[in-house]
Amino acid sequence: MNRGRIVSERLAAVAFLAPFLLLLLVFILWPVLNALWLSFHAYDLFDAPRWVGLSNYQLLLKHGDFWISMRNTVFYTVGVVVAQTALALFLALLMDQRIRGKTAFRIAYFLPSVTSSVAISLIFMALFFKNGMLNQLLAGLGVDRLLALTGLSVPVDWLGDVHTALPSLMAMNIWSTAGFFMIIFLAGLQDIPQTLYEVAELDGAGPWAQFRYVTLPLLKPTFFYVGTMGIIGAFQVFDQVFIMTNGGPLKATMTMAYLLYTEAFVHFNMGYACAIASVLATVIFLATMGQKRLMGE
Amino acid sequence: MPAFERLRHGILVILLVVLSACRSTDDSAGSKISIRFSGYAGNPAETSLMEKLVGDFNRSQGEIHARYEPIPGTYYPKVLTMLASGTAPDVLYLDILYFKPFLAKRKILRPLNDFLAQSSTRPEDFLPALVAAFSEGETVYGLPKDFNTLGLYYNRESFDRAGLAYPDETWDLTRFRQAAITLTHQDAGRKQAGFALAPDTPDRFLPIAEMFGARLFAQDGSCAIASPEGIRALDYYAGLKRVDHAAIFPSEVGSSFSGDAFGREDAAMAFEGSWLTPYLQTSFPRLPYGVSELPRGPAGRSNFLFTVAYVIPQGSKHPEAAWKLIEFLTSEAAQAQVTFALPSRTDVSRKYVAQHAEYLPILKAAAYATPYDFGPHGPRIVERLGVALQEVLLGVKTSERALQEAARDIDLLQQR
Repeated sequence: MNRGRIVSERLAAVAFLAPFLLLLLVFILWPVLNALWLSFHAYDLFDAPRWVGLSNYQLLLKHGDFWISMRNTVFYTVGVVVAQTALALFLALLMDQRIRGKTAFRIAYFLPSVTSSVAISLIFMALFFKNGMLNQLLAGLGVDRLLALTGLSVPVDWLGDVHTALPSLMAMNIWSTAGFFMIIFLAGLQDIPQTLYEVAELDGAGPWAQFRYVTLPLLKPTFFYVGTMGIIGAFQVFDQVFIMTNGGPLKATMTMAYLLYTEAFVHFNMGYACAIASVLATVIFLATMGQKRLMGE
Repeated sequence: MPAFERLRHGILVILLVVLSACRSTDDSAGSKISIRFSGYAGNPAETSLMEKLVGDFNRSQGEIHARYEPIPGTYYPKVLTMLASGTAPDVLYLDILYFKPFLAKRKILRPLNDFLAQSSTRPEDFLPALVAAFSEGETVYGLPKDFNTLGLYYNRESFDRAGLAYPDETWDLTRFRQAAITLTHQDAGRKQAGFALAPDTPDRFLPIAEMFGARLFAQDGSCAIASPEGIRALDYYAGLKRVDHAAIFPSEVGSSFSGDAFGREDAAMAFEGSWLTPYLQTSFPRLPYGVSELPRGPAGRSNFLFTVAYVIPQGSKHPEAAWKLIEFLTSEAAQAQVTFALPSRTDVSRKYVAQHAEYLPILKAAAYATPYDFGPHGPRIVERLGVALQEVLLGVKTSERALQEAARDIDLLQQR
């Protein structure tokens, strides 16, 4: 009787899990393994895959575009993850105070992360145009003369200048993701027991010491989560590039995911694209492991 | 048990949805032969005309029902993916630049000779260059839909203001450059450049290179664009922007292509095909513009033939029905309704130009224009040349170095 119940419970568990497991197998695990397998083949979708061993990977090492995309992606990731984490923490600390209209602010900061990245990209394109709002604002503030001193041609064609295109994309992404991570940090902050602050205060710790020795250490798991999600998201940046710059000007915004897309679906070098995908996955894995070690998790 | 009941209801609902979905596809097909037809949805005038033509076709046919499925956005990635997965439509647009790459994959295109042999549609009725562009030897793979060449679109008002005579057939590149400089002005905060220059595509630069006497490919097939003439041509072209400050990039003023910057009067001249005419008429109806032939260069005239054909993929299950649709779409009656390009039938395009004089420069150029076709690696070659243009236009490299590097890469591509 008892044993019968255990069996039927297990059956039920499997039955409940089956839809998800099946989807995972069919749509995630199988494609991943298949992509890895394809990365050792030459495949154009029309003729059967032909085994080429490691030559896709060898080509990758020699391919200038791959290294450009790698450099751009790493630059993008480091910049975006550091800045968005710092900004998100800053916003979360502000939102944790007693401020009038706190909810309105929270909504305003969170809104970009529930907005489609395509819509955001289109709006930012209008901001970044040479005769767009950003330049009008900068000219109004007189900052444009400062920019001219740095050697940029004013008004700056933000998305069309080799030096500013990638940083412009980064700024947009920092803005659009910081709100989401702010919410995560807020949750982390609210998890810290108030009593610890009281104890610290009794011990004579000022606001800075409280932040440094109570808040920051206890936010470590949150930092880890925010950092990991940030790294994964940033390494895979694609839609903004696809919509706003197409990898240009002069490959200044060519990211690994965009290169992968053009190789796979414009030039139909599926094997080569799969090799890029495998490298990208490996890089993300290593970066996450490195971060884990750094955070001592 | 209520939970069980709910589950059963849920399953029933899902089954119903699935079944009704099956029903509806059956309905539209009926006992008729159902075929699908796709083209890119670049141009609203074109999309609505195609909708109308396919509707006319369906009414004229008893047995065949055609469905028009325009593809927005990136057309070739989508089409190639559909071809590879066996879900491609029965009739497709194929741009001349992609004809040789498609032909290189032997299983994609279906020869049309058998259909043509039994049809009243005769290839001789079409502009010979267009039919030849989609043929290999005697085998015809596509029937041209229509064609375009580049014209010089100019803003009459800007010319009047600057006291310049409108461009005509006597114009050469020197005259064009002077006009671009004279037309560039800024008054009352409104800035207008002489010329809208697309920095990332070589289709405007290559004609200029040929006007200077340069050739993209030498007799032996190697890339010859880095010749002294080619370098001089790129110096000229990039100079419009970098030396004379008489040109803008469309992206600088928030336009997606030079015709749009021209329409918004951010530039007084642009090189565009006649696809721009319906665009200007709908988006900028009050713009006073004219069209003339591209200026001539030291080595004469040059232009590109941009053309698209209807093709039938090998995988089509109803090639006969697909051919019927192509016959209909390339018929004289259907071609007479084109507005965004010139009809591919010689007679119809002549008649058309007689009624619409602004298309005359576009037709004239067809006499000497060469197809926009660079072999099986065409799209990559265009992409690589685009990079070279950007390098020079953004001041990263000299014309000589950029073209030499591009020529070397293109030679490598060709050997692959």
